[in-house]
Amino acid sequence: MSSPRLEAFLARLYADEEFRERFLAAPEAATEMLGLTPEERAALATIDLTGLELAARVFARKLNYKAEQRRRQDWRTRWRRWRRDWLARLRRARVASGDFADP
Amino acid sequence: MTDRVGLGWRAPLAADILANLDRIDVVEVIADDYFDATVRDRRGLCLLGRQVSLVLHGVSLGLASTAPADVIRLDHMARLVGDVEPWLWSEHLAFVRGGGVEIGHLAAPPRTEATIEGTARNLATARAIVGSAPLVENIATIIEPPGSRMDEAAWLHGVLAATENNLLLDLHNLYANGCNFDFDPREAIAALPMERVGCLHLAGGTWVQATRFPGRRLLDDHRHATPPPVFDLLEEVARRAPQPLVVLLERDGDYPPFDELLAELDAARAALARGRAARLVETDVVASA
Repeated sequence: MSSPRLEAFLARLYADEEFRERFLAAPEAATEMLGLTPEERAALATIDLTGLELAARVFARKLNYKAEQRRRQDWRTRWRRWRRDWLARLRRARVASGDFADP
Repeated sequence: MTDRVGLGWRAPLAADILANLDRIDVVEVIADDYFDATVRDRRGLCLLGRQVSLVLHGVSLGLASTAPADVIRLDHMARLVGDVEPWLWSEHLAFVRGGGVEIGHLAAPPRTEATIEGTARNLATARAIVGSAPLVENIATIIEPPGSRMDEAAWLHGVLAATENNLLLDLHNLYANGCNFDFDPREAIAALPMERVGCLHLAGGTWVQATRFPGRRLLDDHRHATPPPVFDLLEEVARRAPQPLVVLLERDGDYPPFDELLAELDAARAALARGRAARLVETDVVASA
């Protein structure tokens, strides 16, 4: 058990309040929709609800903080970020094609 | 044997850290804060690294996952490590996103063989791109990871057995998980290969109460002083580990007067000394037997 699909489900469960409420109202339906295995669905049927409530609270606070930080970024930071990602993609493409070696 | 003690570099603490470098052996910098930094800020970080041993600590790579590591983020870490040349770098054994959804913080993956294998693959990728292997940190979790098939110590042991990475053992994370999920952190320490511990984290936390479901959990919030049981765990690690240890105090808010943080560093040194003394006695007993 455990797959990218289960991790994707957990990420949504932790970070998406609407999805979490749908899951809490009808766990079987929510897990069936997203193609989880019967074993994964059984594990989610006995999820630690106290932990889910508290973890979701912590994750929501962190997500809000990060969103606020992004809102406050000036154009120079956005430009540096865009340039940084573009250069990283270029380097990875060159490594993949064999033109460039990692350290 | 020289153990080292230091603390996390945070902007509100910077002036006090620089004024007390005679009592701070090492500082830990959040790597992700510098991914977007200006050339000037990166130069400042390099200068800091010339004054004190520096550890770069990643928080967003999400390497403990069955999904492949994000090579673009690893490239950012590689650039920073290449520029700053830290003494060590580290990352958490956590997943932080899945299916394109950002969780916002560190989440414990299901503790299974599959996540051990995925983590090992991602750590190999990280080493290839960055050029050195990170220390890997056990995380605090207030939810029992759904779909787990083993306990935390067995999962950590599995990751260490499958990789060549050493452990950044966060003692408050272990203590908090022990409180929340009813296991003895001393038994977890006994089950882990102490010779693979490269660094240790100390921190504090607080109890948080659920409102919709019954119960409460100890949250590792880095906003409170390190509790005495965590220093006891440090003593236990110092008793068991043969190699020099690096201990880092984490504080992320509600900053007390800096003297209180220095007192926590002194308490860490005292715990290390007690553990080392006990180890020496045990070694002598074995040698004379």
